[in-house]
Amino acid sequence: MKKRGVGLACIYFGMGNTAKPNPSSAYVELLEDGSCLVRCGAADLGQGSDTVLVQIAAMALGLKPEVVFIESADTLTTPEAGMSSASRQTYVSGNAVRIAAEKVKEIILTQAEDDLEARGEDLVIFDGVVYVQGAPDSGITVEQICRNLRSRGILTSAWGSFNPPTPEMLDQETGAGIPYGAYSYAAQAVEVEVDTETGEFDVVRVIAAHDVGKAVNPMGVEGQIEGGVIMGLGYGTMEELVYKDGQLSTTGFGTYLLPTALDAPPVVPIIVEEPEPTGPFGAKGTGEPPACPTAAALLNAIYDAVGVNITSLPVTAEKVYDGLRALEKDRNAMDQNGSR
Amino acid sequence: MLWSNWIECPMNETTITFSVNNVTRTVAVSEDALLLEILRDDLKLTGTKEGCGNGECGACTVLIDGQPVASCIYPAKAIHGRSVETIEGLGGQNRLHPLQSWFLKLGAIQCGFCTPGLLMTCKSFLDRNPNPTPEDVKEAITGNLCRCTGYTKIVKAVLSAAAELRGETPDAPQDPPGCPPVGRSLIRVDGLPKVLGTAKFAADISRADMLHAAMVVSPYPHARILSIDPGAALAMSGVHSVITGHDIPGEILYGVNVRDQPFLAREVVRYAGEPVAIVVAETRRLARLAVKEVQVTYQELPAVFDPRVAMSPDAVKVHDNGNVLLYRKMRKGNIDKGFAEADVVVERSFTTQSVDHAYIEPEAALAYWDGDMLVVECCSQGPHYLRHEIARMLKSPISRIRVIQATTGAGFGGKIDLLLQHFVALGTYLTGRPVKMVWSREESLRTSTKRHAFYLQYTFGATGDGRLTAAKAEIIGNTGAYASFGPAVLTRSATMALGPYDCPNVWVDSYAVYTNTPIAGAMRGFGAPQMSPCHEPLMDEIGRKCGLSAVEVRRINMVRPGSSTVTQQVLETGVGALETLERVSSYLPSREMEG
Amino acid sequence: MRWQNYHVMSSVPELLESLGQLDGRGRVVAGGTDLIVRLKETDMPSQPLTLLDVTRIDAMRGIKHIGDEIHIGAATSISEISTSRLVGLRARALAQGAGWLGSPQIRTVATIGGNVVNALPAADTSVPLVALGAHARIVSARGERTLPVEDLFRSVGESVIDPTREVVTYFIIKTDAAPCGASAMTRMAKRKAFTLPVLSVAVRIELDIPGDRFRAVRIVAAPVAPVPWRAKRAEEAISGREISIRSIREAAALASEDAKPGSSLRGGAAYRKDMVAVLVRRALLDALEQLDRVPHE
Repeated sequence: MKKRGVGLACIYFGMGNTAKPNPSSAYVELLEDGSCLVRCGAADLGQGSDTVLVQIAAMALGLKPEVVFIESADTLTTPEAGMSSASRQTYVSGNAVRIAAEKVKEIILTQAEDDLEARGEDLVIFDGVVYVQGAPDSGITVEQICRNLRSRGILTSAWGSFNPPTPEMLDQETGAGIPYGAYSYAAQAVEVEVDTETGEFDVVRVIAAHDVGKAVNPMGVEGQIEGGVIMGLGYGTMEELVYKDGQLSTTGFGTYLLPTALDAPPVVPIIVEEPEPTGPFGAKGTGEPPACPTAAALLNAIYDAVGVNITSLPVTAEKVYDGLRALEKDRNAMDQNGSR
Repeated sequence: MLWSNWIECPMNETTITFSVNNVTRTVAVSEDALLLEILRDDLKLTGTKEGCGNGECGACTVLIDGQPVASCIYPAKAIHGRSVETIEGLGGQNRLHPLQSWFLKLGAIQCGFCTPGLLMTCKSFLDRNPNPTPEDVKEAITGNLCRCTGYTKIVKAVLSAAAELRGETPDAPQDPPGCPPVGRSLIRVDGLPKVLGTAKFAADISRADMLHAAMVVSPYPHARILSIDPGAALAMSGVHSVITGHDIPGEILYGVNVRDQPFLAREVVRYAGEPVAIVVAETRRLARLAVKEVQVTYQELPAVFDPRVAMSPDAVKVHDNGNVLLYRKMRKGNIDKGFAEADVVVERSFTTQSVDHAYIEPEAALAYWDGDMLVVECCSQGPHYLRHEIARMLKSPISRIRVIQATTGAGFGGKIDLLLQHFVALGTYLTGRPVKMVWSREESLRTSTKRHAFYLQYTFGATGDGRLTAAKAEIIGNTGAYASFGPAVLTRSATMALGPYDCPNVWVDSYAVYTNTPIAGAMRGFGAPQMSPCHEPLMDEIGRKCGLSAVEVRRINMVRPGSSTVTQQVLETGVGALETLERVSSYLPSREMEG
Repeated sequence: MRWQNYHVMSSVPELLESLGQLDGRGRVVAGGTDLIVRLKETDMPSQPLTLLDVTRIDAMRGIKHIGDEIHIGAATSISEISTSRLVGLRARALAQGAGWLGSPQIRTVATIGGNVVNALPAADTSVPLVALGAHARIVSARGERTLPVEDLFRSVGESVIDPTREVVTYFIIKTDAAPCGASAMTRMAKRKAFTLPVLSVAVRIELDIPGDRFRAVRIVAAPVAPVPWRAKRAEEAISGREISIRSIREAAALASEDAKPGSSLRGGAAYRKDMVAVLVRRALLDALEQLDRVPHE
């Protein structure tokens, strides 16, 4: 028989290193052709920090992202940004880039005050053009402003740095303190169908809602959610390094199993945007949280479907089957006691 | 047959002729070469990747006569007279194949390492099946493991490419009109080289006069190194040197949280798979063969594998100062009072397993001199940290070391620590020549860091209406042979122990414990994925006991602005916890979730 | 050195001559998806072999319908078998097994001959071939012989076939013929694709002419023994019985009782033993469904 169940799991996740300074820095350089080069030590390993930092620089400077370029993660040419870990690059390096870009913007606007004969607070930069609010047709290009600045011996580049506001270290006795400058939140639901004869189960669907503050790149955020959920499911259902007396038995992908495309159920990513005041444009990190609740939601879904309480990961068909048999035994024992 | 005899029977060379991307090539190959080696090493077509070497991941997929094959286990000589298609032939910068353009447009690429193999599999599949269902696509790509995307966007991209190839115009995602740069689903800026196969991962980079390095690792989980005899290895023609920990000019130990790990083991090995010597030779295969000839004499020591055992005072000591690396306490309110106020008390014991990051790109690095600057190009999650450690090891000014992150085939926390970057740096420092090292999948699984296995014991108390009054957790994390991020992971676990719930009385004891197992370090979630399997089933159980649905019991306890966390941090703004719960619950059948 | 030389053979006589000349130092290779991995791993075998590739020998390739038999060349790729309409209709368990083997990349090059001679007990084509009662045609310098596939397995990874002296050229399968014959395979694994099974069961059934009794049944389970294992007591018990939930359950229980699986990374012995009963029943019902003869509770 097939039985369906739904399980829910919620987590929260602190951005950046726990109760430790973890600063980042970046250079932003606006060039005389109106293009922009961001240099930042943040390593992009596929999670998309290069793209996110380009978007943040473009946003801060009022440029089209297509004219913003990035050089990242080379110790000779880019300033230190800490590690790509702790879901911190959007939040921490994003702020460093934003701060540097805003400094450059200040230089641009100061020049534009002269060029447009306007007050700085009335000026807007959008798509590479500076104009007086309400008069987009009488603007001047950022490119022209850069050239004007250069003719006066002023370069349009700046450095920015950011360290998350974690002023209080954790107390040794109570753990009290402020370990993270911001938190990201998530709720996921896993729907399963359990075969009560074999203990096999199918994950039918995963719903994953993540509060990311502000999705700098919604497609990228979805990718993090979808990938994290499947990694969480791998953790929950099949991945296990097996050791015997300290010797690894699972020495390849034939025995250390990762989910294949067929093991990946539909994932419904839901982006929740509760702006984080300390994040760049309200953004928080989203790399790790998607992998955190999925296995837990699966455990709850299995319980919901068949009442089996699994007490170790990964959840295998065999463990579910053993749980079902144990429940059956309990029931039989109760029936017998009842009949006496 | 002994090596000395074996070397006298010369390896036969022969030529094969085959078509590569519609160009006929004649290549001299050794009789025992594999197709992937010919493509990558001889023809310099490095778009095809090696992810596992056993035909188990699909990164090396090329098409032979239109059909997908694993080129890493395909004998080169069997290719004679056949036609091979690789990623380099799929499309060019200005004439992308629809698969390439849809992978870009729909975000089907993250790290890009599995991408070339996937694209080739999909090309062959769409040639045969122009009108597939999503299930057909999933079936077709089961041989291509992707660790980043979760496959969803890949399947969508293949379906869209199929539609375009059929002459249809599939919808591309549109940003809202007037959307500023933040909020746009911009195509990833590093995407194009990844779909073209031109992105250079560390294993794809070569330098003139380059040597190759391979590791000798400990077969024992705990042993004393009595001697290392490189004689037989050095006697092999083409073997350049055998490097041990005694060749290190500077500091001996490194570590991101605690400096307890030898750059290269000298006296004691503490896990099976720990590097003890580095062989440098003219080719990668030769270096690996010579590894087997390095004679290391060990004295086996008693070992401890279970952190609960390792915590006892009379257990085998992994390190001299004892096995408890970290003991972190969280004390909030009054736990006894909290349980006294509880109408419902629920308990849970749980264990979690050790897992691997299993990025499809195995670790790789290359070092060389650029004037007086020692350059390391490598996979990395943070080049500045690596620079610092390498400088310490070589007793060099930090400014004279340059670490460049090559395109990195994902990390998930596993490519933060110094893994092999110091081995190539040391190789170049000692030989003067460029040195490259690429791990096999087995080496990656044996030697790299892992996710901590946890032993958890939880007790929650709640009032009859489902409000948490007390939360107690004991967390024991197996941190393995060296600290890596162990203290940080178990600290984060303690701060996240309760989940996103407000509870006035909390007691958490968290331990990171050394054992003679591989190093547990950083991995996506960093101590949080182990906790939710405890706090979430307990929330459900409280709900059941109090007659509340899974959603209701969470709604009652969820943190809000003004709530205080385990560390007594008061959350003020940006607290979207309830919103995530409500959004998920709106998808669920009300029957199940709302009681 | 992984191997000394690699030669692509063009005919069976050429192969036999090469095997003869190499006198034990030559070895037949087909797709190589297992053998190449093993040799690559070792990279310095004490006795380097010369590999003789049989995948281009026309006489060893292809799927033919001859009378009431299907002949499948031993060097036929698994993907060809899994997608063959003929095999799908007339030796269905084999098509199912072939479809589960490895990944698309592996199925492109792996062959049925290699899969069988490799002699892993739960090989995805061995299990259905034994259930189907298939025979193997074997050629060596001493001549040709035909053996039941069932008799080709000595123990885990050890075949009766000596690949340094002889070669399986093709397999002979008597077709499942409706309305009375059908076959089916069921399988459990830790992942939905590209992995070895926790347990596999293949069955072939033949019904009597009115179609209400089992005339002959073959039931194979793996890995529950060092070789693909026939549940003979279950087969005997059900043959001749009426088609009913009861007869099927009894046979499944007997199979489970007799199976002696071990524990491995993929599954525990007790679990596997219990699952034999479930999979045998499901395979029998699946085969009956092909004939539209599923009994009602």
